[in-house]
Amino acid sequence: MATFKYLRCHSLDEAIDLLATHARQARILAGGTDLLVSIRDGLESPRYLIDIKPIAELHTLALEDGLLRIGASVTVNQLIDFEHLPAGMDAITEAASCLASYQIRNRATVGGNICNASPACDLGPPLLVLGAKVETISKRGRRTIPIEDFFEDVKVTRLEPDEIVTAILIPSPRGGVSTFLKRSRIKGHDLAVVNAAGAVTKDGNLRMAFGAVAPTPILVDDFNGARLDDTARIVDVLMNAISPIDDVRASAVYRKYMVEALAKKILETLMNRLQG
Amino acid sequence: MKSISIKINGEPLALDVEEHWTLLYLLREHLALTGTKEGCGRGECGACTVIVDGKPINSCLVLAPEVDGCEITTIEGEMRNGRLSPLQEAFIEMGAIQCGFCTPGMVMSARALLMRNPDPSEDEIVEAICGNLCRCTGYEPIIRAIREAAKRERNHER
Amino acid sequence: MKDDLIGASVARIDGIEKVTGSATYTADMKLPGMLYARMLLSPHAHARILRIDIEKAKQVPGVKAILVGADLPYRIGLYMVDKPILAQGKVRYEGEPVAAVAALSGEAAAEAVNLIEVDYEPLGPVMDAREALKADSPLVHEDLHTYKYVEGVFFPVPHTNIANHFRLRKGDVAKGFEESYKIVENEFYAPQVQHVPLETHATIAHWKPNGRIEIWTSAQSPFAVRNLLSVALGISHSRIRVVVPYVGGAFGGKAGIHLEPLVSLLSKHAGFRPVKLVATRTEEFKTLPCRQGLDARVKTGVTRSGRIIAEEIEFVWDAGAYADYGVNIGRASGYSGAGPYEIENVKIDSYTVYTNKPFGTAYRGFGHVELFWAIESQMDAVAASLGMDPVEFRKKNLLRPGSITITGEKIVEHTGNVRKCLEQVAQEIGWGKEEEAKSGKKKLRGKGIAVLHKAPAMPPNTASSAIIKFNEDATADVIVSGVDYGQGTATSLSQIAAHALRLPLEKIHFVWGKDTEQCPYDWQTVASRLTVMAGICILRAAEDALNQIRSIAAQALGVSKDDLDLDDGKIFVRGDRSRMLEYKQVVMGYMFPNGNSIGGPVIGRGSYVAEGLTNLDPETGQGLPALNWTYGAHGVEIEVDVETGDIEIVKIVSAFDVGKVINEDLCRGQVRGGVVQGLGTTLIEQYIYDCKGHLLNASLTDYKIPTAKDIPRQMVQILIETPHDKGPFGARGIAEHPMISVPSAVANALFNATCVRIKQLPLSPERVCLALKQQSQG
Ligand SMILES: Cc1cc2nc3c(=O)[nH]c(=O)nc-3n(C[C@H](O)[C@H](O)[C@H](O)COP(=O)(O)OP(=O)(O)OC[C@H]3O[C@@H](n4cnc5c(N)ncnc54)[C@H](O)[C@@H]3O)c2cc1C
Ligand code: FES
Ligand code: FES
Repeated sequence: MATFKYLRCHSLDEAIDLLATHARQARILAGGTDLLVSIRDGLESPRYLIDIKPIAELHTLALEDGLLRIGASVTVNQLIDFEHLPAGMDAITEAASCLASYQIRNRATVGGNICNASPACDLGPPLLVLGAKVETISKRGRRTIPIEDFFEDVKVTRLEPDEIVTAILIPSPRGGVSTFLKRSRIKGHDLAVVNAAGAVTKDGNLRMAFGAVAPTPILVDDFNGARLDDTARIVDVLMNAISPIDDVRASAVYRKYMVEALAKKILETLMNRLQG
Repeated sequence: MKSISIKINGEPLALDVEEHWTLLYLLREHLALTGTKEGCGRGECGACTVIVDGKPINSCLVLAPEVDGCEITTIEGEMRNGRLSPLQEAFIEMGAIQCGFCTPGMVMSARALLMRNPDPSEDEIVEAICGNLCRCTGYEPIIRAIREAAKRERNHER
Repeated sequence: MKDDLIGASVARIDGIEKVTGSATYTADMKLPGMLYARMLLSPHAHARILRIDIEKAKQVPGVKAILVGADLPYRIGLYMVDKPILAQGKVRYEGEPVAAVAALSGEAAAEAVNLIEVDYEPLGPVMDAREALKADSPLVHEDLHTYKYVEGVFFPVPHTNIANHFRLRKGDVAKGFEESYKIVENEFYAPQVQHVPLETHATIAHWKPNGRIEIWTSAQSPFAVRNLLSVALGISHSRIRVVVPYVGGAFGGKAGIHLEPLVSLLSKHAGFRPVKLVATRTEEFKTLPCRQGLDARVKTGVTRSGRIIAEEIEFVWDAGAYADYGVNIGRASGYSGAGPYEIENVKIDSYTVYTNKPFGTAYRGFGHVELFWAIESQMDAVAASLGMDPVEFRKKNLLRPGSITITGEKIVEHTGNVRKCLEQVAQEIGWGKEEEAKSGKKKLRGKGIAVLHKAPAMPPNTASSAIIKFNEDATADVIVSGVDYGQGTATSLSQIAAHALRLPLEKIHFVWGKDTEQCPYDWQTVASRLTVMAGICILRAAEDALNQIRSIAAQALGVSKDDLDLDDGKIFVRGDRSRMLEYKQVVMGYMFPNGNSIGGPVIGRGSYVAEGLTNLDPETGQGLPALNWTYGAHGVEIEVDVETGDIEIVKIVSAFDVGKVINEDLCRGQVRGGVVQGLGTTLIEQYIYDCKGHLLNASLTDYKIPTAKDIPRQMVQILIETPHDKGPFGARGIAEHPMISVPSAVANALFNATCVRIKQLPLSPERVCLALKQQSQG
């Protein structure tokens, strides 16, 4: 592996200081399950790795006035095991449960998953349909970015080079329901060929999101007033929204079929859950 | 170089590590704990699985300086008082081993599972070892061995 | 007494070392003064090397040796001497080693490798084996006509890409087709796949100042490594020592010779320091061998009642850049290519063709997984065209005692019973009974079956040997050179030794580390032949040792040798059990009360060379190539998700005529593992290239193999015992067979469920889904 300096931070101030100083030569190290693979493959060669895991604040996982706060360094397994997840947020645990393997999930963080901004990242779609916000900090202060504005391109986010994600905030679904599905090449741990999430509010507003069918996970929330059971119209809208490509994991054609198949199953589940 | 202190298989140890070393590299090349294997170096195969602070992780994707202050268990720490653990015995008896290259990581994943869940269902076992590839056995005997070990260890504790 | 040992499920003897992490694999070893090597790989599938500049690389601190192709004027090859140690003049596949560095640390070696500058002139890559057959195809090996090869066995065609053309002719196919009621023709395709042993290839070599070479390596066959190295470098066998420690899975991919020559020469050039090279997983995929692709055309003529009377087969094997085992796979698939059927008129042409891809080698089944993919898919297609039940159709045509195989071998009772395999599988899978898909209407259920056979593919003079030497306490060391890389052979052979020596199993010490300097000769650990051939040798060695024991004891007890019985480590005078000696009193020589001694340490010796095999006629392929055939069959029940294309294996039943079960658990273990590996080939695995010949999935991220979640819901093994006349206790090999015909059985079940016949592997969800869509869109 290429050489770098490992810097361990115990406070946010320390981390943003370091990041400001080393700017483009530094990378935040969370679980490292994306970053260390990239470094190993020679795709990235940062001079400094800033380990943010010791920062206590980033490990918060709590409900605050109906708002779920997931600290950026919360691991995917911690998220799965969280007992106080509000009703209606199933999409997030369902996605987390099929992300990588158990060992990887012990390291992989929620912040790392979205900051890595892979088009196939499994937490993208559920966070999109649940209307999550990304809270960040830099020397210039704190801000929140709606998740639908967060992803810019393949592996590119709207984060500034000196900015750190501190938490992901998810508003209460208030009686709404959600679900997530993933298609991979095998049943075991694998990246998504297509992943998908859907959520409906109590009054029937549908949001759907898909991964691995465009440069970033994409949100579709305007279905021209189609009803939940009007699958054909909904699928039509989705087909216009996606722009899949052929790659080593699947062809564009298959991805389209899978968007349709997943959308149907998701709509079915959502309707069942609304009634249940 | 960074100085770190760890507890490895119960023994405290202070040492200097290069910052880009992985935990796997540290174990194999500098601590001569070669029971832990490398099969891919990128988190896919699980051959490098060790237990850090009670949790199984892929040691190929953890940096040595990251485990400063941590307690690490490797396959070399699985025997009990010089005797095979029930888990190890079950692996041998149930035919859960062929070439043996996946075995140390597999046993570590299983051990971590039994630590957090002494009575796992078949699905829970599969979930726990899904990140450990085995090309030889077809997994079935491994799943059986873990179930059998769980039973024996529960009975033993009673 | 020890009769119960044969067939018993004793736990594997290497279990404790493996489960404690103390089993030492090559990559775990370190020698004093050891250097670390890295390779520079070709980024092109086909290119001329214009210039290599190592000046900058030399400056890296710690670098001890840098080698490029020009430094190594050697060529290596099992059957076709076609492969340089480092690319010379041109590169023939992406991932081919172009240069190598040995340095004080792996990091220094890697840094130096990065600093080596190479200029290439890209050439058009040959990516398709059928294209490669065309007259105007670029050549992968322009100098094919100058290469040495095993003449009379292989038939390269100069100035083409054909490394071997195997021909088989039986009867008159033209006439057969003329008389046929129906003729069915299909083309089937299987892509390259990989063994993916969990342990990548690893070698440590030490070229010593005195000219001796010592090698520790993750190889299947220490003597094959020694022999090939000796021939390639022109060094006497006696100056080379090859040691094989524990091996982390091999499946054929570690047969022959791979990293050993390069690492040896690095050691020589690095001032005679030992050098270690462990392949990265990327190198394992890109640089080390895979399994050949196959494009098979099969044309079958049948009578109205369902008898096959003509079959014409063309196998085009995609060998990749070098022939390695590929030419022999082409040959073996040729002589067994029609399957376990009696067919009067057969014509087979099997071409092994060079392309600019990673080269193929032996992989569990030695071509039979691929050829049975074609043949057994075809059988179902023919049955369907006749409107016949696939099981009945097969039964009509299966080999039976008295049948003549396509090479002219006469089948007898002890050859084995494929019919029984098929019948028992059909029964266990509930053939003919409809099952409702339990998980809803979007899923379809189907059942499929397929049969198989395979004999060890080996030269007619293949040899093995074994030594049994006694220790002072009358325990026995059993020494053979076959490598147990997980199959459990060591355990089975220990059982055979214990039984034969009339000793309890605990008294047998199976010597693990394989060392050409200390172990007796064995050709190779391939082809599922070890239990059989080494087993015979152990029986002979045991008999030899017991004879010595009897002679000494007879003198000591003053009786004739023939009046002695041996049991449980003791020698008795028949009819008078009170006159008894223990082995212990005899195996180091017997001392009379007065001090006079006779005998001496007992050492048993057993050798075996395959007998009665012949080379095959170059024009017709007639002859006797097979030591023994192992027959088998799979039956599988699947559930297909018509929306996603997912195939779920509900149940798979596998039957093999193993002759005699030596260790039941190990036997079942082989079947289970082979079936799941076969499902990898069936459902998931394939090498994927871009149009320039770059391998796109050279990592476990994108080359997926089955995980614990991907196994069948139920696996059943049926072990049939029709004793073989030569094998130890009647046993046959079983290690490779479980993988064979799994793909065709699943494809047949898919057809049964959906009426869609897919002729390309893998049957990935994507391929199945798209085929079903196409069908529904008419
Ligand atoms: C074997 C394997 C299987 C995988 N399978 C899946 C899968 O099925 N689904 C899936 O979605 N992913 C998968 N991944 C990818 C990866 O595990 C996840 O994306 C994970 O959530 C990344 O989190 P991390 O903490 O490890 O990130 P890191 O690797 O630490 O970081 C990833 C990137 O985000 C940046 N970053 C991290 N935290 C912050 C922060 N707080 N602020 C700003 N920038 C930050 C880093 O600088 C880096 O660029 C897999 C990875 C492996 C190795
Ligand atoms: S070596 Fe760490 S997961 Fe493969
Ligand atoms: S026993 Fe060989 S990989 Fe599992």
